[in-house]
Amino acid sequence: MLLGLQARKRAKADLKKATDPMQRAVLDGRQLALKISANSVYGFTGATVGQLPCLEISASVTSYGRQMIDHTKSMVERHYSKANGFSHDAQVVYGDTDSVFVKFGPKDVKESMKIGEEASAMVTKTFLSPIKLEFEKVYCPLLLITKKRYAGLKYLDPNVPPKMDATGVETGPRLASAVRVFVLRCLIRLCWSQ
Amino acid sequence: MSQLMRKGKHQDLVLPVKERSGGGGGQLGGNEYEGATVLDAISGFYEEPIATLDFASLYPSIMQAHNLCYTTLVPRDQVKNFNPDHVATSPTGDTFVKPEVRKGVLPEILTELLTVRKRNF
Repeated sequence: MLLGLQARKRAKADLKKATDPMQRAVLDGRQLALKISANSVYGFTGATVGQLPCLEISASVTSYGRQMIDHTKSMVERHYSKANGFSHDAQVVYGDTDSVFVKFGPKDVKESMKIGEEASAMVTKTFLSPIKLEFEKVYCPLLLITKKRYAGLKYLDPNVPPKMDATGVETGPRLASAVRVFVLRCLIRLCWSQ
Repeated sequence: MSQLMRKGKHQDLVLPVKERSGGGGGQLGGNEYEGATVLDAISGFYEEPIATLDFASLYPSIMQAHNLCYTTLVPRDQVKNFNPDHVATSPTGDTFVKPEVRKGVLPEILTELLTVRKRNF
C-alpha cells in the first residue's frame, strides 16, 4: 500500500471510471483497508508485546476520548434544556466509546434528526480539527437493556421505513441459552407491535 | 511498522529496536492503562426518538488533532524547558508538542491514510 502522490492520483482516476460492480467492490475493499490501517495505529502504540509500544500515546488517546464523551454529554444536556428555552430537557441515556444516545424530547423523528444534526455541529466546533461528531441515526422506539445491549427500529431517513436493529441482544454471549434468545426475540417483537 | 520506517527516513530518523518481551509471559501486568468509557445506560423502553451522535474515526482523529506521536512526546522532566504555548498536556499528564512546532510522524501517516480514503470513496 504505497501512498505516494502517484497512488493518490491513481485512486482518484480509478473512482471516476468505477462503474461496474466488480471495480466498485475493489475500491470499497481498498477504502476499508485504509480505515482499518488508520484504526490500527492506535493499537500499535498500545501493544506492549509489539515492536514499538508507547503507552504515553495510547493512554493519552483513550483519556482524550473519555474526556470528549463526558464533554459531549454535559454540553448537550446543558444546551438542550428548558432553562435554555427548549421544550424538553435532553437526556443522554447511553454512550459507548465514541457515541452518545440522546433523548432530545420531541416525539417526531424528523424533528429529532434536525436537532441531532445541529447538536453534533455545535459540539464539533468545540474540538480541534479533524475531530468530528456526526449525527448518525434515530431509534424509535428503543429498548435499552444495559450496556452494549439494546434493540430498536432504526431510522436513517425520516421518509424511509425503519429497520430493526439489535445489538448484543439476539446474538449476545455465545453461551446464551436458546430459550432465552427465543423469549427475548418474542418480547422485542411484542414491544414493536404495540 | 513499514510506514513508520518510510516516513522516518524522510526526516532522518532511525527507529529503536526494542527487545520483545514475549516468551510465555503473555500480557505484561502492572502497566495497563484505562480504556474507553462506557456511560451508564439508563435502561428502559423509550417510545420517543433517541438520536445517536458518533465521533468519526475517533482514535485516529484524536491522534491527529493533538499531534500524538513518538516524535512529539516531551519527557516529563523536560516539560519545564518548553514554552507552554508550544505544548499541550493530555488528561493523563503526558505532554506533546503542538503541530505548528513539529508535526508528528503518526499524525502524518494518519492524515495520508484518511485523505486517500476520502478521495477513494
